Amino acid sequence: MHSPGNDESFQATRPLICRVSAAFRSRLSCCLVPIATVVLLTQSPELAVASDAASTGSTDAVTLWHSYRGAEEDALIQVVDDFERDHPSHPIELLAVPYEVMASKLTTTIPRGNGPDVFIFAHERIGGWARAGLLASLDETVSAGELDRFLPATLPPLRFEGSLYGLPLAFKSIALFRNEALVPRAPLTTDELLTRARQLSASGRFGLAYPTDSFYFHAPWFFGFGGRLFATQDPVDFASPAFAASLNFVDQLQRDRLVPEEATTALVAQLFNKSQVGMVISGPWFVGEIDAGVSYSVSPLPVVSETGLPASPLLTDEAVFVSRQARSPATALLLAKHLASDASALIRARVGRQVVANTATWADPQLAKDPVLGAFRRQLATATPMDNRPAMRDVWEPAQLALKKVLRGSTEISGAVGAAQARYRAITRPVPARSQPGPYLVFVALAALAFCGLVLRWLAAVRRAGQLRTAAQAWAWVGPASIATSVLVFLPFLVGLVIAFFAHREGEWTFVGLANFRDILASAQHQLLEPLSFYYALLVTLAWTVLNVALHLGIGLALALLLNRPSMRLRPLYRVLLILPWAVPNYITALIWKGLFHRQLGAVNGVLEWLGLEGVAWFSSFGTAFFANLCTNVWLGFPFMMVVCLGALQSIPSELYEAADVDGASWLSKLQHITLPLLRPALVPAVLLGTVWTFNQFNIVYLVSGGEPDGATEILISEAYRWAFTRREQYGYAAAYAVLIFLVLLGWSLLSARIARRAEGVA
Amino acid sequence: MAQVELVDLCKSYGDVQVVRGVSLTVNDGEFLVLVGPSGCGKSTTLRMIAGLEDITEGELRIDGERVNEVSPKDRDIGMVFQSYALYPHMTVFENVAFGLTLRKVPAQEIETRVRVVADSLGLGELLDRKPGELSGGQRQRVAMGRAIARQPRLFLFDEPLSNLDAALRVQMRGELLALHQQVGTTMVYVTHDQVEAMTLATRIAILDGGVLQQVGTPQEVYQHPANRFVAGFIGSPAMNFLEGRVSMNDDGPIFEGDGNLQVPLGHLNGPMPSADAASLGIRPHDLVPGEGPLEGEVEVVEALGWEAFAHVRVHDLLLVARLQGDEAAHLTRGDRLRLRFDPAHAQLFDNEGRAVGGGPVTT
Repeated sequence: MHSPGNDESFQATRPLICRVSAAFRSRLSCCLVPIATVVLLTQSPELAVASDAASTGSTDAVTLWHSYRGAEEDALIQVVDDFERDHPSHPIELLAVPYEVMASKLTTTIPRGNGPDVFIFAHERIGGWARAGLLASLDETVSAGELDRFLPATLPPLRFEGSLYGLPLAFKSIALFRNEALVPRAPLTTDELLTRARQLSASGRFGLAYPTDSFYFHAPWFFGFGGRLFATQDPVDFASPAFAASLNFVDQLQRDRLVPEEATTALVAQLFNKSQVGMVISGPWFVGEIDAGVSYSVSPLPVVSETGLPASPLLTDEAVFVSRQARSPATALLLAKHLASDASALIRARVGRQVVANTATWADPQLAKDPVLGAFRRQLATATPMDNRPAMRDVWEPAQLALKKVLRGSTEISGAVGAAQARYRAITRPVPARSQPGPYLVFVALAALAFCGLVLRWLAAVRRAGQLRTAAQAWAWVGPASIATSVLVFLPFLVGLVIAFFAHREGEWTFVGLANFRDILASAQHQLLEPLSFYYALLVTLAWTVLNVALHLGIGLALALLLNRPSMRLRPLYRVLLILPWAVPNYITALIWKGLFHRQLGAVNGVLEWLGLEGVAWFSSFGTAFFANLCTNVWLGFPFMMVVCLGALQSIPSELYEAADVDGASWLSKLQHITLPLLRPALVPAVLLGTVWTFNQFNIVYLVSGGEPDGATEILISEAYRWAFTRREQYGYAAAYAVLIFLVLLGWSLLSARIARRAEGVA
Repeated sequence: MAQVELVDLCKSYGDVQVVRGVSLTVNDGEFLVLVGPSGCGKSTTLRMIAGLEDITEGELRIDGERVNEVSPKDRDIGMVFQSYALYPHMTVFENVAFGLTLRKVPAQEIETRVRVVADSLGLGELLDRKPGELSGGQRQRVAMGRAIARQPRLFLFDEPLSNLDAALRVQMRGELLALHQQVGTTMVYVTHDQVEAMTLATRIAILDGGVLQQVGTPQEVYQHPANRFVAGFIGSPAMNFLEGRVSMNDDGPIFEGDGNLQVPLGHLNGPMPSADAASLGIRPHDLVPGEGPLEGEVEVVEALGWEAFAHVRVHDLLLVARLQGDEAAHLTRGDRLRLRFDPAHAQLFDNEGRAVGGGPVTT
């Protein structure tokens, strides 16, 4: 675990590679079937990825899930080895689960008895899991004396509604890194920080760098200006003066060019390593990204001069938890206590470089002198624990919407606050009222009856024709394929369809009938033509599809015509070069293009500036962000059309062109009267196929613009993904989206089948 | 109406010379057939006339005007391709009308001209069909109709009948002749089939290895082949060749072949080849059973009903002789047969294959 656990801060702080894997996973969500498959896989005991098959060999075995990598994993293995040596009868099954899927796996496997016995995770999901009965309470089993061994500040985050649910292992927060050459003395107040930053800015450097558009990194300012979590009913009071003041603060930072715009973690590291920035706000994971030659120090964040309050970063406890379903609770507890013991903590601190939660460990002479770990240890004093209530997870999207709006300069602060409030209401839409399943069941029963009736009628017809034996044989032949299709396509499809009639919150399913569809189609929480509205996303999707396919076809055809000229030299070389974009995995390409369009580092702005033009903030307005997406997908899509066109062109006999030459045709009339009509039969299916692919081209939208600005460039499928995976697993709502996408595509494919038939008639 | 002049026309693809200095004049209104074996450069020559191939060297003139650089569409030609090259997505009407449409001929006139052409070719009922729905013969007619409808000054045919069955080919040959007589337009026609060439041509141009061998009327090239290649190519079955040498005695030149064969060549005039090797060509029609100098064993008898051809092994040579239908009836493989011929009908070729005595007929 390299970063504190919440979906959005994870997005902001993890290296890009994690986004790649997230996107790869998210490809699964490209239509109804995959969404349902995700739910099915994670919700069904038989198919759950983390089967307990491995642990059934020994009843005393304990399964431990974690997401550590590198040095942290080495330390854990060492600690677990120690445990196994001391307790040879309790072998440990260690399973590394990717951080980004850990939470949803835990949510779904533990209730079905095939999750881990013990697991290590960030504390912020405790509330939901405790309510859902996933976690064993430690109130009875851990004595007060045992708890005294931990730094006091690390314990409150592990309590929910009065009960203790985990033992702290380490804690993580962000702090201030500074380049000692540029910033010799740690600033104690924001005024000091700003003064030094202005001096650096005057010398052509940046004073400070951090991902300004991430609320996780913004939180210290929010708290520093007096903000509090759950001060009102909402987790963050967006209307509070503290929120506005903190927005104003970063706005000023950016206006004064003290911070780089659109800074990603990669950009921050790059600037720091090149000594182009004096200070960086980041967490312990940043240490690994600093080049050996850079001399740096870490210190707690400064006090906000206006309020006298410390800029307080969010604190995440990494804790060990015991599952309520643990097969051997006593052994599980034993392991948990071992992991949190002082001896283990020392190993984790020394080998894994963790900022451990045990008081005694900090007395270790080597550790006590460690400047980096020590600084994070000091930061603990002023950090604000991430709230462990489920509602905390609804903070990120609206808060970041406001931040981005302000940083982009698209609205006043009041407008940004308003937008955040509206977005918060939209994504925390109330669970629709429970619906009576009766009428639906009747409908389903009637449909099933009708289906059976049809099957019986068909059987009777077959029997009358005396073909029962032949039919049985035929079924035997298609049997394996039918079964595979049923299991892989029809079954998940049906499950997806059923899910669309439910609402899902915190592992709880409520039958709500058509309410999800009603909410989507009535656009209840949104303006009709604003982001998050189904109709808006549909319009964007249609524009996206039409423009893409038209450009794919146009460019592909033009290139194919060029390449098809026999007089062209090096034809095979060009052909290979032009097909290359197709051969590169599209998420790689998407990330490359996202980089090309970067505000500061991107090559596109580089070229514009070289030409004497002003760089464009590509992801700040709908038009430019859409254009960036479009460029990427056109780059990816034209080779396919080119290959189809080339193939079809080569099948047109050259004599037709000669005949046309003799008949008196110009280049243009040959294109119009011969090439295009004869390409049509090959192009129609390619275009129809391309349309469906583009319609559901999740990767590009998700990875390039990521829906920016403010979700304006989301297409239907990526919007569905947001509801399913970043807005508290509203699977039902997302499935309803997927059903609607399916219906749109069904209509389109029926229409296109007719078009294709007509095209065949032409050929 | 057009006169086409080929002056030292050459075509090379890289180092490969396909047409080597062909000079030829196609007279106005003439039906000229370019004939030769596969790869002789006849199609390439035709395509150079059409403008579909660049001319490497030499000059092409139509009606006295150099057209080497003129694009096909501006040469005012109609062409019928071996594969017909009909536009598969257009109806027969659209195919025939295509050239007129491109030339922005008024719709009313297109309609009239296409109807007239279609009716003359018997395509009147098929105008709404697509090429895929037509038989080979019908497609062939559409291809011709497409060329005719534009009323070009020159027609080019690239083996137009080779995809048809034998009966249809004979029929279409007749129709082509009728067409030529009807429109009187200059036509250049490529074929590898010497029968087609003989039956259709006003004049025949025989090509081999990219070199023009002889140009003349069908009768001229048959009776007075310029060289051994033309003699062997024109006429069916092909001419027999006896190898030997020419010597002189008191009565004049004598051809001496294997097995003491002596053929007096008194009818020939002009300079005789030296004592080098020479060959004597005898058409199968002139080689008949009878008391003559050649005797051999029958290998194959091809009976055609009213006549037959016997393949007879004489020394090392396989000669083809003509028999009356009834003569062939009792002849079987292995029978010995004695053959005679009239030396006056024999054609002598020198060691380089040039015709001797009769002299080649040239334009």
